[in-house]
Amino acid sequence: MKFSYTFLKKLVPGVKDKEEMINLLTTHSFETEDGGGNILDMDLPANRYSDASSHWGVARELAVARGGEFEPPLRYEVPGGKIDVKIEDSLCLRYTACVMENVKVGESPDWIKEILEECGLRPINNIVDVMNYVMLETSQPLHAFDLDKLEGGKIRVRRARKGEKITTIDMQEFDLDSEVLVIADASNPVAIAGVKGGHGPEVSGETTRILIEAAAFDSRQIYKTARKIRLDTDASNRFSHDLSLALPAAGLLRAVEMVKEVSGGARETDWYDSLSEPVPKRFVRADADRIKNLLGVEVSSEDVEKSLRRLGFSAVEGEENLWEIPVLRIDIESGEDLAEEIARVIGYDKLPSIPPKIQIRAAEENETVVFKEKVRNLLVGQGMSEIYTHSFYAGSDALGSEVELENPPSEEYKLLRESLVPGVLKSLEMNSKFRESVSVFEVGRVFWQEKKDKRERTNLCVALSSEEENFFVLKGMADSLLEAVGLVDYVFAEEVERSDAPLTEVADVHFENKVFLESEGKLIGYLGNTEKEGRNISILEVDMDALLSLVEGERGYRPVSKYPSVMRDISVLVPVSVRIGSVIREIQEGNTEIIRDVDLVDEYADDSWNGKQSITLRVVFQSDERTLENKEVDAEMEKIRKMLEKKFKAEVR
Amino acid sequence: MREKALKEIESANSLEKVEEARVKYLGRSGEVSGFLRTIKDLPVEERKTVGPEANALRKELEEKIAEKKESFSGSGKKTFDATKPGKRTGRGHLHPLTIVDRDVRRIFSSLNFSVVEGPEMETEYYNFDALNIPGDHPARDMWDTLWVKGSGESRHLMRTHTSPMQIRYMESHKAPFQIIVPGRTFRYEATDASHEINFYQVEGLMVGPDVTLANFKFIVEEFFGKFFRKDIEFRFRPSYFPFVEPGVEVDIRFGDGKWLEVMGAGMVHRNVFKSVKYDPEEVQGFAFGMGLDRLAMIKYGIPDIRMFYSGDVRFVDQF
Repeated sequence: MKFSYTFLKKLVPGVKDKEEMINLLTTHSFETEDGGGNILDMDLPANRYSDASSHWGVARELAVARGGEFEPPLRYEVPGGKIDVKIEDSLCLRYTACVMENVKVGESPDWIKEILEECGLRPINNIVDVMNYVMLETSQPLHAFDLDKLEGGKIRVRRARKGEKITTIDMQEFDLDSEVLVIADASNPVAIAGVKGGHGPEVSGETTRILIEAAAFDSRQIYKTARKIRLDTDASNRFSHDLSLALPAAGLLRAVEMVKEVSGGARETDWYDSLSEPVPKRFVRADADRIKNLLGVEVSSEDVEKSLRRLGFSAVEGEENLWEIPVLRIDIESGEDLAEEIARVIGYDKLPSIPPKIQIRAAEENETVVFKEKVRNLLVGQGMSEIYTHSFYAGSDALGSEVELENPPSEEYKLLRESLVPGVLKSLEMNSKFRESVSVFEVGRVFWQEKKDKRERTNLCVALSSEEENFFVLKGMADSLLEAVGLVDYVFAEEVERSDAPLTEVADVHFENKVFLESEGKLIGYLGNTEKEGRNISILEVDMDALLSLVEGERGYRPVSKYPSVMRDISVLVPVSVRIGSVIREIQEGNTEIIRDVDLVDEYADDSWNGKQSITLRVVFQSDERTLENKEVDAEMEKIRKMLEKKFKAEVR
Repeated sequence: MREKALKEIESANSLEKVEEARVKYLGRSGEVSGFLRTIKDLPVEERKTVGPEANALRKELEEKIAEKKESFSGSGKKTFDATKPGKRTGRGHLHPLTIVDRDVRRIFSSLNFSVVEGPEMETEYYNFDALNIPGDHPARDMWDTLWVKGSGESRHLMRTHTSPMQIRYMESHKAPFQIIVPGRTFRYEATDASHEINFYQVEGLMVGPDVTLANFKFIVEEFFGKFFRKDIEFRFRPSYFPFVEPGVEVDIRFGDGKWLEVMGAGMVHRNVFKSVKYDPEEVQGFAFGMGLDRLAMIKYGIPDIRMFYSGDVRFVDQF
């Protein structure tokens, strides 16, 4: 909110310069920045509009920050009268008005115009300017109508009727409906309540009789209306916040006084106030001990008393520590609020730093946090670079189960990612422009719609891009990674029965070749590859939450065998349809006691071989109990050979 | 010619002799070189067979000569040169935000804080209502929200801060405790050098029977001192967040530099305690929130927040 340095300086003349003013307000009240020229830009807290969206309110803050005092000259008693006003809706919390006659409309004096302009308000005429000026003084938005142009001289506060329209002072037209609260005369809306006045009964050169309005509305109502019709005004901005019910009176009385000052001869002839009782007083107990306990510093009761008095609190006679809250300070409710007031006045910089006294317990180690760190370390150790990409992507990246944003900031960020792949692919593409090979990974949350539920989990995506073939490089890395995190039992399978939406969707959309990672009957990831612009791209995506639930926490010791291992190679010709993975698995499962490892050492296929491929496998035998004899190994190899012939139509070479 | 040449190279007993042989056969006017030059004059058919043979011979002689030269020790031999550049094996890189997150966790763990995480997609209740930020209230304008499509009892949104985890944690834990909550957060925002639609925050919460604002001051001064490892001047000033009272903002400055806003904080509001069924007369505590991106930008001098989410390895590989 914009404030005038000129005006504040007039109210608190002791402040040396603008810089001092900014510093005092920032350290004791609210963040204030130099808005250039004589403008101060303040970041007013939402709960301080009632007392401080005004120069008088800020002047008090400023005076107190300097160790002095400033008491805004506010009065609250509206005289009785009989203006024809009816409040037909409870969203109007208070309505006060005054009729003034013999008004002469003309130009405002320069000192008013200067301050309006500094606050970004355009001078119109002396009456309208006074309304704005008093708002700047008191926080209360005001409006003046030409009484002779109000039909029947009446004011009705009501909901707009369907089909009603209003043209505002600045000639914008709005269609109204029953959700909008309006100020109307006998038949038509003359203002959008709390937002803006209407064209027609505004004050003009020929005006001689005016009706000044100062009201209070339900803040949520005004907030909603201003957003709905997209009209953000100085009035709606203030009215969108909770304001004290006492404020309309203060604003009205000051406005009447000021009109008489700028329009000689004007006099008030009638009044109205919807409130018959004065605004109830509110009290709070200032418990010095409680304040000390909260701030952690000894505060003397004299300090408490002095601070509160200067802020406008008054001690209640005969009651210990009971204080009456200044009527505009609706933000003050409890002892903690007082602690803040006192800390502000004393200055937060005066607070000491004190180590907390706590009972030591081992800090909890969240297993997800630890797991993510472990995975990151392993991948970085394999030479991968970690990237972060956006949590959203465009509709063109859709895979099928995405959750959608209601108010996407742009088309590019319409959907919550259900896979890390679209983001990672973009990164590969970009990086490929200046790197021959790219290897990256990302750990991040993904989201998806599962029937009615919206779900979220952590995924890991590891990707390689290079000219040469890299699928098996990544597969090898995946094995190392899974082994390192402690996943014992898993397979990469070409076919899966179950379909886990996000994982199978992305694999189907993006990859020609793929295997699915399964463990204990759960689908937890996939490894896919594809070619783009002459580059081989291989990607591993894993559901980290599922992976974490499957890994074994601790490793166990297994004695190292004292007996030597024996290696044998076997070369066979098998149909190209035979999957090498199955061959290896069959051999391994043939004798789990002494077959320690089976690996592929060579493969070759030639078009002229009539659909055959040659593969060479290396089988490692070892026993924990004895040195294996050649005879025994030979017999085992013979069994393997027979099995291969039978199961895979193999021809041993 | 082959036999003769090989024999001469083989029998050479010094470096000079080998060089003599080289000049004789392979030098500019050597025998082999001379022969190679005449090939172009032969008929095409002959050229096809003789050419490759002659070239193979030249190659063989070159290899033999090199081999022979190497067999002689002494001044002419290339010795092991340890000053040559090393062969680099690729090194991986953590993202700078991961590094900063790790630093933050390490420092707070050493101060006996536990690390917990929460969901990135939240409900309106946890993100706002339970934190004393009512609906249709301008206080909500402090958080420009990305709302998630769909119906249901509680509207879903992308969490605008890590503060919802204050509520989730207190709902399932008893005081006293101290936690930090690092994580990704979201804002409806036009992106520029200092604004992104996703970014990272670290929330802190310490609650107990007598945790004070002065304790907060100690913890943050301790944290920033360890994080930046520099002399830091602190400024604590009043601020407003609906879920704390009193509310403060922390600014830091190095030397004569500019004040940098780094943290919003305060004493947990009694309404927040009430929404998790804590008794505000029994417990009190502080909460704080800071932007990890901002810390990383200050620490490494990164000028543009968008770089973190660009997926550019030229950026990541600097860390």
